[in-house]
Amino acid sequence: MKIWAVGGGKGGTGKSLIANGLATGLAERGAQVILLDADFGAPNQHTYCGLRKPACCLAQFFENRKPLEELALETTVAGFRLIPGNLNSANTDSITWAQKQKLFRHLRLLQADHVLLDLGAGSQYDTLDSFLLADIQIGVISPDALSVENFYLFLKNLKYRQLGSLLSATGLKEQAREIWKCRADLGIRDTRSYIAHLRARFPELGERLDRERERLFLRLVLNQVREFTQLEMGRAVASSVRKYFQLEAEFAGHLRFDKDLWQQFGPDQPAVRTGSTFTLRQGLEGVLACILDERTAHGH
Amino acid sequence: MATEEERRARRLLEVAADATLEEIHGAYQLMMRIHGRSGAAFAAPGMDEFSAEARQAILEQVQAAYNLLCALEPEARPAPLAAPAAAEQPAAATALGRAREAAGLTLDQVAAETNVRREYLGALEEERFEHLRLATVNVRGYLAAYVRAVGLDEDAVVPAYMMKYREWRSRQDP
Repeated sequence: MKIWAVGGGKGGTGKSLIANGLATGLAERGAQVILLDADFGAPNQHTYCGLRKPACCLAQFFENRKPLEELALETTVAGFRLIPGNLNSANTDSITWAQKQKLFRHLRLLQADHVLLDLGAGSQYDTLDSFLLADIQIGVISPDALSVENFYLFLKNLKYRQLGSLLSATGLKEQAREIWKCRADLGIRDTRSYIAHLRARFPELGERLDRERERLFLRLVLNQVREFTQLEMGRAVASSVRKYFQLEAEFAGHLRFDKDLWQQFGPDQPAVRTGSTFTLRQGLEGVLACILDERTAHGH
Repeated sequence: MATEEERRARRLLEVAADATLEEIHGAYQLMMRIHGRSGAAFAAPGMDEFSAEARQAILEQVQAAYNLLCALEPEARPAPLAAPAAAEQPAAATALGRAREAAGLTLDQVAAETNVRREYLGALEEERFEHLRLATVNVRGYLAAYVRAVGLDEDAVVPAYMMKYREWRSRQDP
């Protein structure tokens, strides 16, 4: 079973649409798919799926100890089930550490070929940890400087989160904190030189960091493309991720801006399947084919 | 058997292990175009990672990687690209034209490289579709040749351009 995470930092770039479209595409290929709405603060996958009033939601897993599997609701797409996010529970924008660990344990037990996590915007620990947990990590950006900048911040926070977890695991957290305090004296200008310093000082940390980094492989999707001239941004961001953040990345494809899409949300049918235009579906198909390595990927 | 240095150079240029010289050349042009522009929307100049020093170091690494890979090829052409500063002064009106200029190529050179008539290349570049009343398959072929010659990503550029062209065509020939 593969866990997919769709994230990217900025809100409104189309993460939910793409998560939904990928789940639909996988199910149409005959796979058993569960999409979990992990946007704890603003869930709306149920509406994307045409389930206006879902019979259950994730809160029942946390609060009523209901098995995760039983919360997976059938959608109108055969093989595609949805675990809706919390709709009627207070304090929904984050979960506790214990809840998160429980959720991660139970995700692996779901009866599905693919489990997709639709993550919220921002760089909360829950979001970063869910992204790091995934086997297939998808970053969604739109072709504008705001979205791209937030995406880089998301990556930077991912790297910090990885480093922080490793420092805790190796008992080096306090020493690292002291080094950061004295960074000016040590000639540490930025995060890159900080990490380089830590690597040099603690070689075992560097080795573990390398192993963790190897698990990060970002598949970039460029959404809301209006002009073909914007397409190079997908390649450029993927290249920048490799060169400036030292993370493996590839440009998995793009989706054209669909001016009529907003009208499709709400009816009792999934928006991606019934309402959207041919070009949107074509874009999603291309992204999925690239991720599943069904054709030559961009950038390699 | 590729050396570690050679593998590193290919990783820097983001090309496959079996990339041809032409692909290496295109990748180099693309890297210089991407990372040579300081104010591009895909950079985040406010972040430490995108400092001027970091960008300069990347450009130098790309140049060194290209030089190394070219030196391994007996028929390698010298780098035709101007310094990154030149890539920051595009004069052409369209993205295709700017990409061509950033690659340091004239339309005549692209015509010689692709065996496509200069007039068609000019019309493609300036999106003068009325001068491209050819079979769609030919337009696509000419465009793909142009895109490869100037070092753009064929998969990224051609489908969207052709969609625009077909939309124009459908309005002309309903």
